[in-house]
Amino acid sequence: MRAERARLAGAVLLALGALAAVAVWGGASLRAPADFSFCNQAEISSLDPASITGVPEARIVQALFEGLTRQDPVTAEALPGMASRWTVSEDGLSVRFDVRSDSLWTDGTPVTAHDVAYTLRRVLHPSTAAPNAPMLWCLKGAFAYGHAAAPDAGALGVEALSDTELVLSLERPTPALPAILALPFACTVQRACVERWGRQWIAPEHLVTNGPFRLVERRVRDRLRLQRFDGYWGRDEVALASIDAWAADSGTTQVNLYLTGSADWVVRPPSGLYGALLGRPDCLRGPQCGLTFLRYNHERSPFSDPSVRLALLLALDRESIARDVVRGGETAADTFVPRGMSGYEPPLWPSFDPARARDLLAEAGFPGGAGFPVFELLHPQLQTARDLCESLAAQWRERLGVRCRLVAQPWKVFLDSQTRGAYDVSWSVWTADYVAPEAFLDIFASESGNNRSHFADATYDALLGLAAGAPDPAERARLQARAEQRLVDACVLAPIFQRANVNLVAPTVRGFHDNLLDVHPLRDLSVVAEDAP
Amino acid sequence: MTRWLLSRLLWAAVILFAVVTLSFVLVRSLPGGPFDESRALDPVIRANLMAAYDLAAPLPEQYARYVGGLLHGNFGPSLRYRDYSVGQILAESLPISALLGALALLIALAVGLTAGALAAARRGSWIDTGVMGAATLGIALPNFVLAGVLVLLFSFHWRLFPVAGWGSPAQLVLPSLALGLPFAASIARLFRAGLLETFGEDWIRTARAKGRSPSGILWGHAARVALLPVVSYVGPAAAGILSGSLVVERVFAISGMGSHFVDSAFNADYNLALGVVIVYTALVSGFNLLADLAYGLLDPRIEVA
Amino acid sequence: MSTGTPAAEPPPSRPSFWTRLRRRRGTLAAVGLLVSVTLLALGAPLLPLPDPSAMDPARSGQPPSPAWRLREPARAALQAEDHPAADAVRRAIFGERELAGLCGTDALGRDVFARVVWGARVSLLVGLLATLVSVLIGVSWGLVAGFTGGRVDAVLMRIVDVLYAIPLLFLVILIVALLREHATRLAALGITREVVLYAVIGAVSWLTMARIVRGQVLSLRERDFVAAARALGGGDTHIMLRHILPHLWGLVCIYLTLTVPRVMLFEAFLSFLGLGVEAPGVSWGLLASEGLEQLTVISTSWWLIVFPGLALVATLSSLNALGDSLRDALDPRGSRFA
Repeated sequence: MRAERARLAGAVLLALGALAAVAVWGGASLRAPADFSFCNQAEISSLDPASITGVPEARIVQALFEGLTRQDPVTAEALPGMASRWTVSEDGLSVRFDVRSDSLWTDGTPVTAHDVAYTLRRVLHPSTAAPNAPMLWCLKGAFAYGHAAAPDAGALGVEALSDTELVLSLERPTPALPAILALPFACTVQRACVERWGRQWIAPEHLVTNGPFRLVERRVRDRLRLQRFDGYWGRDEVALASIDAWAADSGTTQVNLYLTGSADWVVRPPSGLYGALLGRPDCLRGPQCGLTFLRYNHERSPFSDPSVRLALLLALDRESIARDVVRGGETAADTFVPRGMSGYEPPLWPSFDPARARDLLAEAGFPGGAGFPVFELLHPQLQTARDLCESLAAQWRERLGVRCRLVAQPWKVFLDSQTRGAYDVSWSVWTADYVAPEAFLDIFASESGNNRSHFADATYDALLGLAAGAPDPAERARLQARAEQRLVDACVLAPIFQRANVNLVAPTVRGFHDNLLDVHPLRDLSVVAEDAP
Repeated sequence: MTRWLLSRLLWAAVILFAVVTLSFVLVRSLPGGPFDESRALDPVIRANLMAAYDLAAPLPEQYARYVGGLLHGNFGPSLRYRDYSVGQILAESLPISALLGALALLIALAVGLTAGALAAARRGSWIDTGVMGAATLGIALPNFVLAGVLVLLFSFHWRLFPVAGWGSPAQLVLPSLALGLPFAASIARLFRAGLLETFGEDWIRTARAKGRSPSGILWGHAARVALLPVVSYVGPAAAGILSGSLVVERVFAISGMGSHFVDSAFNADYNLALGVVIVYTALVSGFNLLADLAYGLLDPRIEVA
Repeated sequence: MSTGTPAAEPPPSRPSFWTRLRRRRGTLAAVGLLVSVTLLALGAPLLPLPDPSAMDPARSGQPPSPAWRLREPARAALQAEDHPAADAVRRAIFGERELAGLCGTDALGRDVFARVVWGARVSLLVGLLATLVSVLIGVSWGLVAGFTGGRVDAVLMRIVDVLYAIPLLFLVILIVALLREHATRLAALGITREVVLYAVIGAVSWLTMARIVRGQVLSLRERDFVAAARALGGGDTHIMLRHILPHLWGLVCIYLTLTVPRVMLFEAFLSFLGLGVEAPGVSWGLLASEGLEQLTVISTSWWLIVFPGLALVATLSSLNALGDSLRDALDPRGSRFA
């Protein structure tokens, strides 16, 4: 009996010892709060500019690195970055950049035009496999370079003439080039660092950066601590001395952090709280260069019939959907290329007309919805997509008598189904990286991997090709509008609403401006004391 | 005893191998790849990426290479968190989950056993009713609701603890409560039921007839047998608690391992998915072993075979 | 008493099972609640309620304010189309009126009470089916393993070990996602996604039951009464079913009352992840996870979390209370510690 009791006591002690060990092991460091903290949505996938595609990644990468240009905090247009200025040749086929000589890497060496040239070659190199490399295929020889077994840098239109001069040669005039170079994937990386450490160069202990901030601490799926970098050329314009970027998956948690003062900025709070949030002065809203729309599978009957596609669109009361279902300040879409692009007047799509929708459906052989197959409406597992699709299904049933089944899939599975064309009608969303009509129109080119609806129209492709080569902006816009008209005429897709930005920003934050791309560079933000006017 | 232990360890290795193989097949049969994003990749770039992460070769070949890497302690790179290897992610997240889980387990055992014993000893009294009522509520409430209510009460109403985050002791309190209380409810019910069951048995009656005090009987005799169902329950539950809880991690923005079980599957992060499964399997095997040992210690009538 | 020998003494009379069941406080309330929830769920199409998925922007986000109003003809037609027989009965009893706004409406103007009632159908079905599957497998598995012992026990429990060693959540997510991929083909076979969900949840929830039953059987089979039964020539099957199984009822009932909530909560958790029933279907778990965002200080729509939460908690608590009463009533020794 006594021996047993001793064994029992031993077991208990062992368990407690293990617990104590675990407690010490799992302990974490404490830090003083930063000047500015924000919820950066999901954990970033990487710090390597070349390999990222997401918005949370962009916020961090653009704080740590800077490319030839950067994005304007007010308009999101291109401003001088590592290049103090640039000049475009007469024919628009060559751009010369003056690279600053007064900006340093975090290891103390100056940033040179050679680093920039290396960066662009690296993005285009096949072994880098940068997802956004196609955006630079406007550079001379870039496509061949990216597809060659042994790429030859000599044939690439990227040339550093000296430490401060860089010339880019183009395949065709590209007015959007400065805006493209301001995107995170084109941020400058240091050749010496990348070549020395290989894949490990992004480890915090190796990382060398040139942006307004440097990385101090990184804990995966927890937070990043950034600190102002004094070697950055625009050091005097950077107000924040330190920044915390929190990774928090749950929108409710993000709002809780904001409400208790632990975070100063929350991107897109959960729609369930709109009732309490939208009226607040710290809830900033505005139009976004993005569209939520429906893709039809043009290979599946009856969606191969333009009048069926149009009937489904006409039966949707998009005004009511935007106002009552989506509710975040989104506007009913009457265009495909979102409004707000200067110099481009998009053609209008037909508006809500249930009577005509019924007529069209009858003409297509389905009077009153009779004989129309029960089709599948594909959407990702997101609350907002689920609500939206439920309302679409209800409207079709009520107004046309057609029924659909909602199919929810995890995000990656959803994308896979869409790409394989394994759907009838699919919820879709598209947002632009830079404000230009082609950022939208290109996705319905026959050969585009983003088409995903088996739409193919030679005239459309030809118009886009002509527009891309047109040096005159007005002529380009005219051709693009004609291309978009082709989409309208065949009702290739069903635009639902133009997206909106919803940001929760503490009243003490300055320099936060709403813009079409929802871009808010951290370098331009500042925080004032609580009682300041 | 040593032979028994050795055979159990060998068996654990077999289980691990079976689980890895099964998970590999399942994860890879899921449609949608790690490089599927809203913007389609250029086919050549996709091919280069697949090659860079060794996803282009035939599956059996990849499997062989993966198992080979495992034998050298290499879990491969994460496909979602590209700056990290799976080993690094596990090394960062497991201690967090383990600490949180250990605290939750302590809470669950302390609260559960005390409440269960109190309820059993004062059966039918208001204590019993109260404890069982609370336990019932604890089992009936979805844990995301419980976590939300805790935040609402303790972070906003009384402003005692931070709403989320990780790093300070105060930030441990709410998540470990949210994680531990439902288990405490189950333990209280099981322990109370077990105690009441054993109170009726002959050898307890004998002990009472010999004049042992009720509390002596409770802790000396009955408790040990009544702990058997609790041990059966806690053994495997412990592995689950220690490897993290997705809900608690999400609500409190904690970077533990629990979220990876779901997110890695959704993100098609094959290596990370297999990594967390391996850790979980190892934990479960370990705790099963402990539970079997505890069985032998607690019940003199059972020989550890 | 003084005249008879102890052997001839009649056993002390015990109150019947039902008397003992009723004796416990709250049992009747629990049973009443469960019965009414079941009736509400079964009779949902007969009740004068708005369509649970009908959105009504004009009435969005309203706090509870019950109204006995006329239903819109267009909506009535759709309801009649969905459940022709039930709607005819409903029309005969309640006419063209409906009870709207009893528990308020959500942000899209859907009636919360109607959603809770229709959600009961899914939630109860998940709980019942999945638990039935898990208890059936778990009890027989544990009973056979514990009683037979030896090699059979070893093999059976090793299988449980392997299954235990896989994170079930991970398994369920993969299986559900995989089956979603083949949903169209399965639907052709009459297997809806909901059925798949129930079956998968049930098939992964029996492991603990098996272990607990085995643990109990291990200690039971060493008891004198088993030896006595064996001495009297009882076969294995006979002893298992006649002598061991009755001793397990208490444990099974306790465990049952732990499993039903667990299974229903698991469904809620899957809904939280977006893997639950698909739109426009609803379950309590889905409603609760939709209402979860209301658990913030600035929230204004408390009814979105309170009513689904109440339904879930009340039902699960009643199940637990019923389980406790059953346990007391079934206890073969009627033991009491005082």
